[in-house]
Amino acid sequence: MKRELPLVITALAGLVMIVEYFFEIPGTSIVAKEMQNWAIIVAAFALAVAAINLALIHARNISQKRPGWIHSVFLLASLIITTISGIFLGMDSGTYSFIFDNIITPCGAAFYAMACFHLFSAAYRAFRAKTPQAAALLITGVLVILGRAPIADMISSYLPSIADWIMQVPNLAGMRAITISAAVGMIGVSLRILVGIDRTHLGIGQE
Amino acid sequence: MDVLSKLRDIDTRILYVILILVLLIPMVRPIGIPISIGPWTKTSFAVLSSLKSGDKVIFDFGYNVDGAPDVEPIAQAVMADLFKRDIKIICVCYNAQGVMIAEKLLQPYEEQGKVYGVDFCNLGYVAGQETALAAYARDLKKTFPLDVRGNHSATLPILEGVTGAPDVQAWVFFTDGGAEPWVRQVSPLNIPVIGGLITVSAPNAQPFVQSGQLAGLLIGLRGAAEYEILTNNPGAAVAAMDAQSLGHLLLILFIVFGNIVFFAKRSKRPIGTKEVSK
Repeated sequence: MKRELPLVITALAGLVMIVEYFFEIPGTSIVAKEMQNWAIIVAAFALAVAAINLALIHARNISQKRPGWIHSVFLLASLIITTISGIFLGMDSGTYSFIFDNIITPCGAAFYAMACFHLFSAAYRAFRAKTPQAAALLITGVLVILGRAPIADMISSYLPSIADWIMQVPNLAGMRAITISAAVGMIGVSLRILVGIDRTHLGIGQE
Repeated sequence: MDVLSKLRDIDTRILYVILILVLLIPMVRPIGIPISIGPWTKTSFAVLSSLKSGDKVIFDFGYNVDGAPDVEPIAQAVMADLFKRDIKIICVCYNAQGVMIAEKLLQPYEEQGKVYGVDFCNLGYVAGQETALAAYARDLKKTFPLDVRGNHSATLPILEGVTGAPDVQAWVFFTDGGAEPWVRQVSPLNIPVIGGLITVSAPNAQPFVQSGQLAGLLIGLRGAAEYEILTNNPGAAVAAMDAQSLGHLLLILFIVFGNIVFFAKRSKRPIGTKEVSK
């Protein structure tokens, strides 16, 4: 029963959501809405559990003086200060706004900007047309990069059209194929979970 | 060490300095490169410009601060246009950081006289990602019983007559991820859905526009600049376009130059030997 009950619950929950989405059967939409509300509550608790787990891991790092423990000190201090200021002072308080505007936002933007520097370094050192396929990829990439920039119109009026054609014909065809394949794969995985063949979500493994 | 080897193994910091200069100089001394309008922005603009004064639009903030430089200008441009035409905006947040991002974007309009609860509101964030989106797309008031300022959402005048997506005139989402959650949960509810995406996510979302599941796309900083031009409200996005143009040119230059050095070095190598770089 310990194994079968979770599988039955999984199958029933999935079946209710599928039936509610595709058919108009009285009563199913009420049940489905209620289950969505339960899922939201569980997700909120999962957030809290994740935060507590993070704090415990880093507290252990500090107590055992593992390599890089000083970073754990900064992490825990930031977590505690932001949580306390958000809960007790409110999101519209000066302290919380200061943390968001002057620490979180610039740090986040800096992480994103670092990718730009790595990209330019890689463009010089690593983007090599060593094979015909790599050359085709590079040429296509260069045409799209150039065509997307406002300066393309000044260089040639054909460049934006070429870039648009690449994005709207071969790229679109490829992305559509990938999206449909991924969706078919997802249907297969979902069916395996619903009928109990795949039990990895229960920590049991596959049959 | 010969010239080609020196060029191949050039200090990365030199490349970074060149990049910084190329991006900074046009910001200080703008060039004024003309900006053409792309088809995706034209489509989105056509949908949003068909809205009338008093219509209600949902703004769904689904990006974090690290994606903000590419997506936030889109939100700013569209928000400025809709508020100028007295269209009401209901903000919801797919991400936790979206709450503060929305509040920061709305604050100047409140100071200019827009009334909270009447002209706009911020319902906040609910955990659960796509599950939460499925819930609030169908029933906003039940999913957000309170807004971020502690008001009961059922008492807000802007939510009068609004239960879910079918009761508003458009849904505009801003994300640094994919458009799939909104395509799956909001598009089937038969309202125009427009996506503001980071540039790298755009190719994945384009099939949904062609299939009609998304009414339009606004892509990255360029999309924001195009929208600002279409609404006669040039701002930060337009100002950044010169830097973006020169940045793109520099990237192409690096690729071409790097390949020239590579092939020149390879052609000088005796047959049978292997290239060794730093």
